[in-house]
Amino acid sequence: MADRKPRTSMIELKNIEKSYKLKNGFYYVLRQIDLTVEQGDFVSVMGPSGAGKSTLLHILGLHDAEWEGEFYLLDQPVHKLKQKERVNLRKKHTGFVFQSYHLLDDLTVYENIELPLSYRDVPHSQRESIVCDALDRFNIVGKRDLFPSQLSGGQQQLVAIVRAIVAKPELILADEPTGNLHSDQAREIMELFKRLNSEGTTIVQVTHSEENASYGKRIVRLKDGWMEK
Amino acid sequence: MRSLEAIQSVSLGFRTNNILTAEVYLADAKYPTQTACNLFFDKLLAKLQQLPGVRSAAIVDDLPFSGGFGMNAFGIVGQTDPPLKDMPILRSQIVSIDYFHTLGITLLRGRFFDDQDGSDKEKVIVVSDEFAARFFPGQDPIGKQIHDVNSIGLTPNAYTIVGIVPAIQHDRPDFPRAPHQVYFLYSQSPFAPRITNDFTLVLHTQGDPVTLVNALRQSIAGIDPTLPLTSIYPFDQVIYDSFASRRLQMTLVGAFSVAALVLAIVGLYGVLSYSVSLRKRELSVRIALGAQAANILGLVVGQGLKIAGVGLMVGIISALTLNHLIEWALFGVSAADPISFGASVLVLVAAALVACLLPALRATRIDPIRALRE
Repeated sequence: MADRKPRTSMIELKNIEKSYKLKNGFYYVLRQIDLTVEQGDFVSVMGPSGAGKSTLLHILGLHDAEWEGEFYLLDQPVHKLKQKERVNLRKKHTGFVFQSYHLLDDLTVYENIELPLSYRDVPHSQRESIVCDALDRFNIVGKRDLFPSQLSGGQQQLVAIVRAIVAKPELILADEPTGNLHSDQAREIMELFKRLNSEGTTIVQVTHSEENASYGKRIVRLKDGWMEK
Repeated sequence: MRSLEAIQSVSLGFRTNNILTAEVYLADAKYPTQTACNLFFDKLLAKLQQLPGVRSAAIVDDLPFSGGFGMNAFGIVGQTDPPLKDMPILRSQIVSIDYFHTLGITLLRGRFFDDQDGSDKEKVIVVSDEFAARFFPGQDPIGKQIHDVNSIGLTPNAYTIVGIVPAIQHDRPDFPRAPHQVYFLYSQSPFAPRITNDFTLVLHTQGDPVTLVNALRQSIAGIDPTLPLTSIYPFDQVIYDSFASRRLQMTLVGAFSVAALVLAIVGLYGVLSYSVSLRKRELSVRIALGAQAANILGLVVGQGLKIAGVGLMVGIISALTLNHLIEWALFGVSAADPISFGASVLVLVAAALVACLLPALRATRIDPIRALRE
């Protein structure tokens, strides 16, 4: 394969396919996905349940390595990278927000937010100042020693978002980030995403809500694994 | 294990290799007197000394490590005897002239028995250094006399000390060493009129002692064809067999220890496997947040080692508290021996690592997407 030209895109997907082997053949979850996300973009991925939205997001988040096609993340050919290189790329450039928050129950708010930094080999002294800055920036200093079970759903998702961005990733991937929140809390979270995007962070979110999608710059629709043109 | 090693490494004070032993019993019907018995052994020893491959030959009534030892009350000539019940007891061995030479027992002072010590001469004995120090402290024991005791009114026999030898290990080192060891010369018929007719032959051979078994049988048959020869063994095998109960004890303790170790490994493995299945979501989140395989491995192994550490602490405290219960079974090793404790801790930590490794490796292979979706 010839060397590629330098790119400026955050994400470039070419003919991405994801399938599961069944008894009678293959079951395709994603078909021929071509997608480019520029740096600073805010993309909302929409579609009915089972369309492949979360699967696509986990491929973008480098959690899933079982797919075919070409995937460039900041010009790095993900499809050619080894597992360890993918993990390093993920740690360096991405932050992930889950629908169910997935905060660790036996860690405090502070410790949950600190976790991604500890896996990025950030020295302890720096971690403390970074986490304290983040707590301050998002007005949750008072919650630092609470456990997730002591927080509301909105507060838990806020902590999850802070955890996703604490390492200053260029790309945030959010899988239905407001799916478990009521409308006021959802609006606050979307406003936060908008603010982060305006500060330069690229965001790709999966959502069922047209209102939430409207916070983004464009919408990508999936149906039965195909991307609607 | 270290106790057994310590026991087996104790210096016995005599030679055990290249020694052939065999028991000879002279039945009363054919050998009714001590003189008849002594004549037989005189002839036999003279014949055995001539056998090719034999360096020296001797007899002893109670071979070391064979379980027996004569015990006789005695008094010291020139001193008033205490009542019989308070008289000291000596541990006697009735031997032939070459016994010390055959077993390589060294002479510390005086002389060994020799051909001048005839049956009609002064009765002589060789005593151990412990005996000499105990009964003749600060004196030269050579020339001093002791006498035996009999309860049927006969005149006691007096015996003159002519030599001092080191006290030997007459039985396993974990048994108390027989004190007051005294050697009598069989040709002087000690303790007469009591007859000693049960002896063990001891041959120091040039090579493998087993090769001389047939020659030994033929030599005895040449003197008395009807005499049975029993329990023919190389001496080192006699010594080895005497440790059989110790080895069995070690094998049993070892087997139970291994079983306990296997149970501990299986238990820890089970607990950790279950824990990993319970922590699947947490581990998946950690992987999704950037944890490498090494981080997950460290997390699970660390959890396992914490459990093992608690177990170790409980075990060490229990062992230090209860170790006096096994002191009786130890030799040359303290019940709180730091090397044994250290080795046990190392083995248990290694076992814990083995038990942790499989669940930890399984944890690194968790598919975070599937686990988080579940």
